[in-house]
Amino acid sequence: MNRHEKRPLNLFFIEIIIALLFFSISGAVILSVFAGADKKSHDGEILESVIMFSQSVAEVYSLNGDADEAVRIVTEQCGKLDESIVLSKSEEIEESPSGTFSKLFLEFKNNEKVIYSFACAAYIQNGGSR
Amino acid sequence: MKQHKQTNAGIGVGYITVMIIFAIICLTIFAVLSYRAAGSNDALNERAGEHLNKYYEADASAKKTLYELDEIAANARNTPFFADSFESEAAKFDKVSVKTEPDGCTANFSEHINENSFIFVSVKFYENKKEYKINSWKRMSALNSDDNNINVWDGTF
Repeated sequence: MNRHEKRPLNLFFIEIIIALLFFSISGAVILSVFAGADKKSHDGEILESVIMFSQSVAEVYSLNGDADEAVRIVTEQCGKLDESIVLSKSEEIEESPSGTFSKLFLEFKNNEKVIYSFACAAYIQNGGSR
Repeated sequence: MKQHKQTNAGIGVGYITVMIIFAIICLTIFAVLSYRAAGSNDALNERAGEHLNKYYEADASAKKTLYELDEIAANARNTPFFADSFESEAAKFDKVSVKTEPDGCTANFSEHINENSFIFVSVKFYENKKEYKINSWKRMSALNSDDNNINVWDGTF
């Protein structure tokens, strides 16, 4: 009689153990999916800010043809990019008696990985700001 | 026997399993939805980045053409016939069409951004002035839309 009374309690504990085991395994998988989504979302935010930054730099650069000045103005007006992002820039300049045509190449790296590369140009007639 | 009944009151065998399965299903749905939302947002940003790249590539190409045309105009000002000289030199560019005007020449050209849009540029180069005037520098759709020619009521009876 005593054995029969203990059976539901044992069954209850076995069920809890199996359920917790199943929950912990599923929880680990689900948490990794949430972590992946969070990382993707963060990467997307960084890319969005980089794109906006590039566009602003391109617009300023097309007016003054000065890469350093364009980056400085945009950083002052729109704020700095994420600290993990490294911006490298290079310029190609062609000059003629009528004016200067320059092309600016921007490359944004996050943890040594190129996340966005961008090129824009400016033509400044002689007598302009350049 | 009485004590045993009190211990199990309210929680039956199987109830915990049902609740945990329900919780896991909910969490899985939320996790998948948030992952998909983040993924689609990321894809949208990538497309925006690609489009921006193409736009500024076309813009740079148009500026390069402007640079070359300005150089041609500067050289043409040193000749007795500005319009003829400018027109003959500009004709070397396939994409540039030149219209002669009393005080100078207007050059029109376009640069393709993608299959659906292009940048249209119209620049006037003056015969007696070193400057040029940009009449138009705009993005236009390459698609032939019937929306431009819809016959709508103009408000008159």
